[in-house]
Amino acid sequence: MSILEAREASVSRGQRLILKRASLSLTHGELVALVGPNGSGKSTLLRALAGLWSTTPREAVMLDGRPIADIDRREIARRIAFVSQDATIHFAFTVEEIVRMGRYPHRGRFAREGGADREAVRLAIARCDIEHLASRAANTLSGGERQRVLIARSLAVEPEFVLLDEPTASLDVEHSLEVLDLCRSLAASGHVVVLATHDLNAVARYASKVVLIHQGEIVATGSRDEVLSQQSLEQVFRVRADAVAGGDGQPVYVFHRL
Amino acid sequence: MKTRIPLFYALLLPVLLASAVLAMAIGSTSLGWGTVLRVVAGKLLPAGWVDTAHVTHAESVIVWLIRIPRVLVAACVGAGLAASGVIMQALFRNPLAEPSRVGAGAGAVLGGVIAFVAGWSVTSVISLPLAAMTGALIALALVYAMATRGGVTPVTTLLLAGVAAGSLLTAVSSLLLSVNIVNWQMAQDIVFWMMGGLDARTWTHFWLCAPFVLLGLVAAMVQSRDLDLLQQGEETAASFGVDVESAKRMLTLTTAVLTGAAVAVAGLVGFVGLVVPHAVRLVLGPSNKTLLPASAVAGAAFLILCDLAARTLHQPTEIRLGIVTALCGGPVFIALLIRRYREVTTG
Repeated sequence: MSILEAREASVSRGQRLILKRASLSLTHGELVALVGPNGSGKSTLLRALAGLWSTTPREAVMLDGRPIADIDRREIARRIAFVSQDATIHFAFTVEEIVRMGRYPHRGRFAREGGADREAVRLAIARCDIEHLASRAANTLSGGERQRVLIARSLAVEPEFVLLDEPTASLDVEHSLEVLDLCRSLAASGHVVVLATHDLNAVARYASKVVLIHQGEIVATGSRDEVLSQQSLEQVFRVRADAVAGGDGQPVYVFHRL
Repeated sequence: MKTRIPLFYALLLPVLLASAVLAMAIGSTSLGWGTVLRVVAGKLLPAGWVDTAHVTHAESVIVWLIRIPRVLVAACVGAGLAASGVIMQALFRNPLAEPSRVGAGAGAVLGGVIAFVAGWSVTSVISLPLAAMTGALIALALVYAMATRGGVTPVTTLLLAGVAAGSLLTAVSSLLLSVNIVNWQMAQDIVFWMMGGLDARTWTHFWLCAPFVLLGLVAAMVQSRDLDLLQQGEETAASFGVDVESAKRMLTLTTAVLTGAAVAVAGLVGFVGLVVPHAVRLVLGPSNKTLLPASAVAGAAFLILCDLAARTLHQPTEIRLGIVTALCGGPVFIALLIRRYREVTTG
């Protein structure tokens, strides 16, 4: 069982320290939500975990006990998928071509596409429910469809960890529920899914673990009820939340400015 | 899109072949295509296989020493510039990028001018393409550094940086020309070369250009999947395991080799790298593994035809090749720019 962890990881961009000594451990079958206000460092933490941004100390992010900075880029890519918030698709690639790009870290420079590659692409497309779009030009899709295509590309990698930066930010209600359901089913099948998001109600409903970030620091990690307390919501988000019972008995938050 | 590939080549290869034969037959002295084929076959096949008794010495010279080298150089230059355009568009994630728009062409010209002025071009023929490639490489690195911030290259910044670098490098070229104008023979060589065109190309020009274009094409094909991912953004590429910095360096080098090789033998011929990949992409889609070779073949045919137009439309004088390609390419560039602008303002 693989473990991806950050141990007091700091990240700075230019002169500014944007992630301060963050510690977090991720393993099998979790759906972890990173929450926090704009600019709190959620995306930074995701990029550090994906090995895309370097940390101080250099060895602060470890994959199975090895510093991620020492692991070959392709090996990281085979195990950790990162879905960026920017869902722009440049040029009129078909959906299938986009998803096939996900096999890049598995194929040698001169290797032909093999049976395993085709099977992984087929499964990823089926899992994200985009078979009917396979031959469409990906840059003509709606936001929700595009997001699913990009997730499918990451699943074609067959990664153990799936890190998504605000996957529902630009989606309407139905599509964001679709993406969240997909995340939940990924976690149920053994993936580690990490989700940076603003949608606290989604977090409450879907996440098995919640990480609250504020001004570059992880201020709380734990279950929904532990982390999204009245007190932390007031301190971090500067809102008051009324928890109302939803139809299924789960709480739904209604927010008011302080 | 994939099913269209055989059809695409089935239509394009005969066009390429026909335009080559046409370009060898038409000219100030018109020859029959039978004569052209007979000369070519007579040179390539073992003696005695083809009856060349009816071909005069003059006809043989015109075809073999004047027209064939010109056609072959046109094909290489067209293939090189088109492939170079494909790579640049992917690197800059922008269908408007092209050797002559992003300063690489001007850099290659400056490299060439330096080779003339320093006298290297006299001592060694290979110095001209090498200097042009180096110039293209430096210009590209400069423009990329100016136009890209955090892996993002906005279209306006790219075009402005390209224009700025292009003007600066062209100014330096002109300056070098001006201060060396006293050396009349050399200045004439430089001007003749800078204007761009394929008149008086010989087999030497072909051999100077062809190996580098071939090398560049092979290198580009090897990197075609890196290019697909880089086209989706640097961070995306990195997250799928592309070593972004090294891939960018290799691709910049590749496109500099292609541009430099083309500019060294033809001067600056604009818009080929824009028009050809754009047209091919409409038919075959943007996947670089398909787009690169298809654009190279289409670019070869396109430039042979442009050159044919350049030397036959206004006989007995020639129109400069760059004028013909600009007349074809300018409108395409403007159309792309308008569409791009609409996408930005309405999307």
